Amino acid sequence: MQKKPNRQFSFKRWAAPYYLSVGVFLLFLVAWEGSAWAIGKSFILPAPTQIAVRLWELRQTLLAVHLPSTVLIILVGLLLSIIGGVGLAAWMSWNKTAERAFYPLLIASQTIPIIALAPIFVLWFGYSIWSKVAVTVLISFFPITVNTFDGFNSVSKELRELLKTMGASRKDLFFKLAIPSSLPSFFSGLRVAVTLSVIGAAIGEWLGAQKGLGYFSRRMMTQFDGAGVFAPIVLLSLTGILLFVFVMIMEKSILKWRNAK
Amino acid sequence: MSSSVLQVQQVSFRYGGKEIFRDLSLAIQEREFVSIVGPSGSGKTTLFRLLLGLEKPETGGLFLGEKQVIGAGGGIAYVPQKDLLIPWRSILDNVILPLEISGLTKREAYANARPHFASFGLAGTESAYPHMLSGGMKQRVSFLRAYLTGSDVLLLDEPFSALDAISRVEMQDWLLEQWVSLKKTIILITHDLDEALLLSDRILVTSSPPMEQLAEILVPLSRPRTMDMKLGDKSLLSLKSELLQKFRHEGAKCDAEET
Repeated sequence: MQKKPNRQFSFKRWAAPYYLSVGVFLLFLVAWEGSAWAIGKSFILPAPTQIAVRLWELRQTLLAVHLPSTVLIILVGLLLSIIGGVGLAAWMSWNKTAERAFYPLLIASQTIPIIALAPIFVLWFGYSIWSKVAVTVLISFFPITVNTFDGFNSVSKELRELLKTMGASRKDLFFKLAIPSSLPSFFSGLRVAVTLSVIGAAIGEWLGAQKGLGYFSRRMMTQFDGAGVFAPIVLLSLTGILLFVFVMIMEKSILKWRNAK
Repeated sequence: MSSSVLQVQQVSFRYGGKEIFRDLSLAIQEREFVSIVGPSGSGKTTLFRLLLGLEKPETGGLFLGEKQVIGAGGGIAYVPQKDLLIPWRSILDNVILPLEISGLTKREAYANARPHFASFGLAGTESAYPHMLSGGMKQRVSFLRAYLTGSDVLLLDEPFSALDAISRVEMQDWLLEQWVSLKKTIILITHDLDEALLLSDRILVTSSPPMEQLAEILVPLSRPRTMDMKLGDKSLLSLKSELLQKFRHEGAKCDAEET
């Protein structure tokens, strides 16, 4: 193997693909700012600069109290979704009966409007973290399960047969073929789930919470504080982006064989 | 027939209602190089699948030495048409697969496999991934993987069909060398008559199903063989035309039955 030339990390090269979208985003902010001042009612449409100022004013309570509370819900919810989703996917791929029993239900469950269910969770779990976690799990469980299951089933028949001619057991086939080949689709499911989990946590908090970014945003709504509604939303969105980037980095480092030259 | 390493005894087999083999018997001798040629759809691959235990015969039995082949994993190594390397495993991790399955630890398997890389022309590729290698190299990896199963019988299913003409000739030469040095029994499915003639001791020709026996042609060339022999020998040319005729005849029958 030849040694790769030691390339320096260059911000310019790294950022090049994003120039265009950053430009569009900045244009959007400018247009928003302009129309916000034109309308002149900050409780209906606060300007981005007003939101930024509010975010700065509220930084203490948002970062110290509400952000950690929401992030905890997101992480617990995601963790449960991953454990449950991967477990169910593995079971369904291992056992045909389990597949026939659960797969149709899983698909059908997506027609349930989860937002409408959320108030019930408050009844069941009260104002504890679990009512919010339940919404998060319900919303992020599906993409993880379905994608991972598809991944388990993506092993080619020829490869399975080849391993069988080597005397592979079902366990060998599962650990040496099914699990590794499910990883790419697991990660694409996880990427979707991560962004959904932020939404799930926010919805959960809207409906019944004493802290959290979703709760805070809603409380500001009742006070006609437009910028205060948006400030926690900015933080929610940043949380989602950070989680997404984290999953991408994890995916790149685990599936590094794809990029080997 | 004590020296036959592989025996097919009165095997009947049906695929999707179509009778393919009827009381078919054949025997492969130890360290023999046998090619199987025949028109597409005439059951060459089915015969391999039976030998590998991936299909069960309706009646009759297949024997590897004294042992009957029951189910897959019966101890015959397989080099598939596509290389079927696992994309996320490095070359070293790909070839140790049969060793891992047989229960060796990774460390033992590595120690077992590493010394063979040089003789298979794969030195330096240990930590590469399959997509980084050429088609010919990948087939060598697939061949090394089959070799490491420790089996005495290797089944090769058109292993060079996807290669360009030049790498194919190179790989044929290489295979010939390997066969001599490894002392294995090789059964090769091929569409390439030159390939069959250059490499084998014996050529079996499949015909239109149902088959009760396979036509057999002995290749009269002495060993060791080289490319020049293949090109120069007069008797080989007549053999090739004989083979071609058999082939055409059977091909026509196959086509007629399919329509």
